[in-house]
Amino acid sequence: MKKNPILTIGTIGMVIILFLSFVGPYLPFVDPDLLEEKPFFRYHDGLMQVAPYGPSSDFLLGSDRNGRDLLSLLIVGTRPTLSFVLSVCLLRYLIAVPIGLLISNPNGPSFLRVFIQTWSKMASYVPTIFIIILLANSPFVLFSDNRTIWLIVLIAFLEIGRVSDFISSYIEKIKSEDYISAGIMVGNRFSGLVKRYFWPHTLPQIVINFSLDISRTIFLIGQLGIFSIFISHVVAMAGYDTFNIINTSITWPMLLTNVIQDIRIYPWIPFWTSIFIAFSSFSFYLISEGLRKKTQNPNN
Amino acid sequence: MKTLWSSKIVRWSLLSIILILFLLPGKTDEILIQKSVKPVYDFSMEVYKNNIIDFIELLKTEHGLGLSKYQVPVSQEIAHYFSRSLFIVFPAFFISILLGIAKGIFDYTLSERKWNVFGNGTTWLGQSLPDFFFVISIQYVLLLLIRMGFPKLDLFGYDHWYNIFFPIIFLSMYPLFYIARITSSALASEASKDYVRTAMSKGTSMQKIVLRHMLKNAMLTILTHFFTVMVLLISSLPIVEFLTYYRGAARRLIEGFGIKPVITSPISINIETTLVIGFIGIFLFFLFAALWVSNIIKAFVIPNSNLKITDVISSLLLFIFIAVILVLIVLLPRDIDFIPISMVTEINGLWLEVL
Repeated sequence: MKKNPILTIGTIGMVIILFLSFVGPYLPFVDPDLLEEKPFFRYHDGLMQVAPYGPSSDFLLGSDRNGRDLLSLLIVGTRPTLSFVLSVCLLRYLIAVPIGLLISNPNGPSFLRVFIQTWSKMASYVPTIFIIILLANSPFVLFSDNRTIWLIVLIAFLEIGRVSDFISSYIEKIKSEDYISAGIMVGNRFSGLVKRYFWPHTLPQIVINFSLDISRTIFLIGQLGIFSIFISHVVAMAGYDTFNIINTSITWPMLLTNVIQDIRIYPWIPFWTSIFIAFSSFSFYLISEGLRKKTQNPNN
Repeated sequence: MKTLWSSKIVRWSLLSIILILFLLPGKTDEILIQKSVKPVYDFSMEVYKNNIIDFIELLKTEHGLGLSKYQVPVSQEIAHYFSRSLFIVFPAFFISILLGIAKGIFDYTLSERKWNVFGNGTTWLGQSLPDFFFVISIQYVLLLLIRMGFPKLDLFGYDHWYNIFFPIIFLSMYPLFYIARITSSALASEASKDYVRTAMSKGTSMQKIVLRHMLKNAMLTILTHFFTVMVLLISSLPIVEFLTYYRGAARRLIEGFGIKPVITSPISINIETTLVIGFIGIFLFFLFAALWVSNIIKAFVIPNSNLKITDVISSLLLFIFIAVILVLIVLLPRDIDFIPISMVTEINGLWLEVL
């Protein structure tokens, strides 16, 4: 613990996030019925106030535009936010890891190897945020009933090439080590090598990168929130020939949607939201950094 | 779907379902049924084909990209916004490289001491905290200062010459820490090499060894990351321009995507097709140029490396491939169709009270 303070701090951060997601909604100061409609005005000290209310003793961090307590919203929003991010990363690694192991086989499909390398190169050439905004706003995704699933698949797939390429090049790197030659000498076939030599050495690297990807994805969906790309929404009729796209999730990035106006008038809404996003992104980054240090120096 | 709705069986069965719903005992006191319509995407290959043909025709006949929604030639608008973005991208690039290397050296020299928190610690913070977090918190602090009586400066926008400072600072933040990280790890991997030990045995000061010898070798590693820095800069360009009210290319591009919370008649989602395609083209061209400028610099500096014409062609083909895919997505038809739906709203008690 003393030797690897980075990992300790990161783990504490992750425990806080887990606590907020599973126990948080039942805490006494958290408003249990956030999804119910609230009055958007209130009487306070004999004066009438219109939501959003500033930070006060009633609303510790203030309230959002619908008069809901911001602290409760952020705490209750932890679990949906994290489950979205985790689904993206899990899907990405579930597909990318087997592909990465497959293409590291010298007798494996060479077409697949070229394909993955090209994919990885393409993703490194272009800023992904532009592509995700373009795709998320394409009519297929915009009017789909399964928008959340579409978005998870899109964000996960864009980076599959990078992860597979990373795994195969890591295996390429450790192939020249002595213990691998020893493994080949005692008669291991490729599948045996993967099982007994490559996998145990690659797994820590996968965990490190997985944690880093969680940190990056939290970062990314925060950016999407600023551009009003909702994670889940309904298209509802608002009047004759008019439809509103209404956000239906209570994830953190959705509180950043009106950031341009909020930052000048109700700065507590984007400020505290970005604090929550930054905190979780930082925690997962530190876990990844701490684990990296641990693998480099196992004595820690 | 429309034919389905017009069939008698569907209507009758729907009606009977509604009746059954009314008769069903349940927790809800009343069920309200509203007729409404729901927009669905109406994809037709024919329209798509026409869109593509029209676009190619436009390229042939107009020798440009037509007029934008402000009735200005698109090419003129792109040149205007893109050059404005370059005003912040290039300074941010040099700042992040220079300060990043300095920060990396600082991190490396502190890494073995107790003050590591100020070296690597701050670099980790800079690497993991989102760019919008910096922008939002600094704006919040400025707002608090102004409320306390600090003189109000018009720092955001694009009217004054000094408006470029904030975007440059925010833009260079993330790449700066990226380069710092690369530099300090490159220096750390040089530390165990023989020439460092020789220099140390001769009694050369550590400062001199780091600056004169190790940094030169580490530069070779740092050089290979120049293109990544450019990609990182372009990635955070939309957020930075959006949040600092700087009307540059990325902000105009996002505006061109037509993300709106309200969809109104005429029933199609507006995307400024030619403008978006133009911006995609110029951004990709810029990144391609950046890739090859950095490759050429690398070839000059790193011994025994040679540039292959096949590499240039293959990366050019890749960029063209990306461009074609993106253009095909932009050209997707954006018509929507309506299907009637019945919205079932459950009302708990409330309706009865009214009655």
